[in-house]
Amino acid sequence: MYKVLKSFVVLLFVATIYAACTADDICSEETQTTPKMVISFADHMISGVAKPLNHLKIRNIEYDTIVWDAPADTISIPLSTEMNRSTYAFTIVKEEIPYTNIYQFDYNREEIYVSRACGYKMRYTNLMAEDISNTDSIPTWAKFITILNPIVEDEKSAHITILH
Amino acid sequence: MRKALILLFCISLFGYTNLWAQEEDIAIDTDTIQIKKPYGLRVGTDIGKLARTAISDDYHGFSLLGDIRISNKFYIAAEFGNEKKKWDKDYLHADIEGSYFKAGIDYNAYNNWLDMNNAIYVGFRYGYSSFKETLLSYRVYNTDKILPTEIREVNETFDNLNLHWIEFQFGVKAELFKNLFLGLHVEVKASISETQPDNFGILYAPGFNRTYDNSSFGVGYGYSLTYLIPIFKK
Repeated sequence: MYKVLKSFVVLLFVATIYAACTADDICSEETQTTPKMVISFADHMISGVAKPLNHLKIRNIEYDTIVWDAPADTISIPLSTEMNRSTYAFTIVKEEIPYTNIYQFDYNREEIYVSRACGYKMRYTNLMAEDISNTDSIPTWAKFITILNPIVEDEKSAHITILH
Repeated sequence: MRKALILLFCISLFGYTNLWAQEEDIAIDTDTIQIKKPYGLRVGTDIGKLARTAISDDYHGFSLLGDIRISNKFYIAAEFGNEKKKWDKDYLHADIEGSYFKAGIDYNAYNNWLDMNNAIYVGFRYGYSSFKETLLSYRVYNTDKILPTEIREVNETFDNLNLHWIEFQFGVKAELFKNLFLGLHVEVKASISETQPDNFGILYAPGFNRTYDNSSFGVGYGYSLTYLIPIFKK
């Protein structure tokens, strides 16, 4: 009986240490929380050929904030967690002349419980994109925008592709 | 709390080995005098819960606990309690409130010397907790900090939640004065079934304590102060 008891005590001890050391109050970086919208760039002439940009600047209109200012191959930008619309100005510079496309993204939002550490995450559905560029005053550079996946719940693959 | 728990464990282990040595010493004793042991109902409360209630603003708890001796080594034990807990973390704020009941058996592994009535015991319990959670507010978790994310004030109550669990205890009980016992024990438990609130989780269950995201295990501890109402001696 004492042998059983001894191993039992050891087991309890190990279990307590294990529980005490499980740091699940910190949201792990591997956990998928609120996703960003992933955008890829492709050639508008030859379908399916990626066409990265040497430099791209993306500005959020609602909050007047720059969210991207770098070369762009496949990029991800945030969608607002507070509104069902995020509007972005995509600007490239060619021979010192700026070209801008303004895209308006509309979507529905769902708040989903993840865990005690991460709380809630956002899931975006019914993603739609509309080109609202002011073509009269500013020249544009992109030709088409296509929705590849209207549900934004992870960042594994592109949701949007811009053809130029 | 976790550090205290580990410390408590070490102390109880230390105490355990000491008492063990004592017990081996008396094994060679061949005394034939029969010592009669008291049998009866032991009732009391968890003074650890009372202390936490007094110290912490986030916790309110009370319990009634007791046991009945059924043989030289075995006791039937039970506990009934009520707890309120405030969950205040960066991304989640909630209130949990409810009652629990635990019942099971304790085995006293300690051979008492003469008329001593101390215990080093292991116990098994079945536990049931019935409670409600109120999600007060939360902030959507967003690793991107460029666009602002506001706190949502929701005040949503999730009623009729319950959790069943099994629990192992390891502890000591010492008779401080005649018939008055102070005990301390640690608990390791595993949830066997729980209600899943819609688009929310069980953060804490009264009696079970906090849950863990990636396992069904839980831990706890208790300081019991009990009084023995003697019924007969055997």
